Order: sequence, then C-alpha cells, then structure tokens
Amino acid sequence: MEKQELIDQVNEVLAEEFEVEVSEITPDANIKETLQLDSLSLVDMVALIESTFSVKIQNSELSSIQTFANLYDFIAARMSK
Amino acid sequence: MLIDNYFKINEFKESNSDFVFNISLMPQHRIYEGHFPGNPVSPGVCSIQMMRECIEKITGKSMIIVSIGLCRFVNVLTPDKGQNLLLKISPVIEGASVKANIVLSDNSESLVFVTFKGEFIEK
Amino acid sequence: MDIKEIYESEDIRKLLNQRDPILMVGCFKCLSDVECETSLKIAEDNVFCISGEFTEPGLIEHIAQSASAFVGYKAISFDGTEKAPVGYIGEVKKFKLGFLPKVGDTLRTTIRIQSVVMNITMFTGETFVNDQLVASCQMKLSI
Repeated sequence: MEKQELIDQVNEVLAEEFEVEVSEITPDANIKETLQLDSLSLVDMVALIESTFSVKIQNSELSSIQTFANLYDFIAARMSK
Repeated sequence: MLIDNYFKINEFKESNSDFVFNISLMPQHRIYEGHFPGNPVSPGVCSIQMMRECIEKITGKSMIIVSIGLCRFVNVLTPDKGQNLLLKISPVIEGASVKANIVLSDNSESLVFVTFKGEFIEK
Repeated sequence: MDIKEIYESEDIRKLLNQRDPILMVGCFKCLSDVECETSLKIAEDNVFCISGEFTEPGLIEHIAQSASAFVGYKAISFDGTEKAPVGYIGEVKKFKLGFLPKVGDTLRTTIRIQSVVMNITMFTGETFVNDQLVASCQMKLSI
C-alpha cells in the first residue's frame, strides 16, 4: 500500500470514529488533542488501528506515538514486515 | 429497591424539555459495606438505577432499560461527594419508549460523574 | 499461592474486592488468555432483585465483575501480586437486554478481552440463562 494511500485511510477511519473533519488531521498535530482522547477512548483508537491495519501496538510503543506522522510511520513499518 | 434508601430526590422540576432532579446519596446504605470494605465508592450501576427511577418519576410507570448506546463513568463518585447531585434528563418520549440523554453531575455542573445515552420501555 | 482452574464460593474473594451485598460472581473459570466464563445463581435477597426479577443494573454489575475477576486472576497467577486490584466500570457500550432473569435462575457469562491499553481493559460480555441470551455489551474496566 502506497504511503499516501495509507495516510488517507488512517485519516478517514479516525475522522469517522471520533467525529472530526479530515482537514483537522495534519501530520504534526497531536493525536490525543485533535481527537480529544481520554484514557477510555484511547483504547478505542488503538483497537481501531489494530483491527483496520492488522498491526499490534504494544503499550510500551504507545508513548512514541504522539503525532499523526508518528502513527503513519508506525503502521507503515509494521505493515511492511 | 434503591429509591428512599440508596438516594433521595430532594427536588424535581421541568425546564423546557429537560427534567432536572436534585438528589442526595445516603452514605449509610449497606451497599457500601461491600463496595468497597473501608473504601465507600458509589457503584456505577447504582447511578444507572437512579437514572431509571428518575425516568419512572417522569413517566409514572415502571420502566426497563432495553439498550444503552453509551454510558461513561467519567469521575469516581463517592457518597460524601454525592450530597447535592444534579441529574439532568433530556428525554424523547414516543409511546411506551423513552430515549434519553442523561447527565449526573455535581450541583454546579462543573464535575460530571456519569453520562448516559439509552432507551427505556414501559414494563 | 496455588493457581486454580476454577474459583468458587470463598475462593472468588481472592479475585474480586467487592463483598456482600454486591458480590455478583459465584464461580469463575479461566478458558484462555483472552476468555473466561463465570456463573451466578440469583438469590432471593439479591440487592438488584425487584419483585422476583434480577434487574439490568445487576446484569451490568455481574458482567463487569466477571471481567474484573479475570483481571484479578491474571494478576495473582502471572504477576504474582497477592491482592487483586480494584476494578471500576469506565464505560458501558452497546448494552442490549434480552430478558430479565428470575430469582433461582443461574446466569452463565462469557467474557472476551479485546484490548488492554495502560490500565484500561476493553472486553465484550454475553450472559445466558439456559442458552437464552439475557444480555450482551462491550465494556471498559479501569484498574
């Protein structure tokens, strides 16, 4: 899957699930702030990404995923394995 | 079951289409012996039961919760914090069904304990 | 600490912090790393019974405690902690009621863990009485 295609798909599923405009999702924006995630909805985000892209996000890796750019890179790296 | 010994309704008024209840929890209720020993915490499900009983006050009929779309326990409620709570119900009543958005908060509505979105039907 | 396959009567108290009158799990059985089964016989004096029927808040508490028992089971058997952590319901989602069980019925509940992130466990729960679906929902438990 092309990187841009991956980015579009990530943005689409997140925008729909968390009811934000796709335009609000920019690579350097903070995920928790943009999607207004608290500890409960953070679980929904992780589960959604894991099921949509069949990747596993370990708790230890979560702290390194702050911005959407981090998320795109994380998924791309896991999917190429 | 719960009314009159777990909580009491101090005041209840309708403001435009919402119903606002002022309620107090009763700290000596035996449920706190087991939830939890030496650490009284108001069970989330008892907040749901309070919501149901307030809906029954509005409809005047026994009601059953048939579905809950989303219910979030945003802050932990304890009996000492529960002396002056506000329970705000925004119902959509269609025949025997009541779909409702409900918020349980402190009296100033600054500290939210529970938000609820679900459907009740007459028993 | 010997790890058991099935926890019931007094042993349940090792997996849960709730005590009477709100202890709502009678028996616990671990099926796999992500699945467990619990049961509860509904007693007449159950605090969630109204005129012989076990009510929705009771079902939700039973399902939540079933998952909490599973988290407690894992804590004491794998992490070696002595006391099960206290679990709070954080969220109930897509709760559907099938019917209200009666006093004397035995609830049988299956819990499937979907995701564990930080201190939050997300799971689905389904409760049956004699193979009839009583209730189902998705929940988040915070420890």
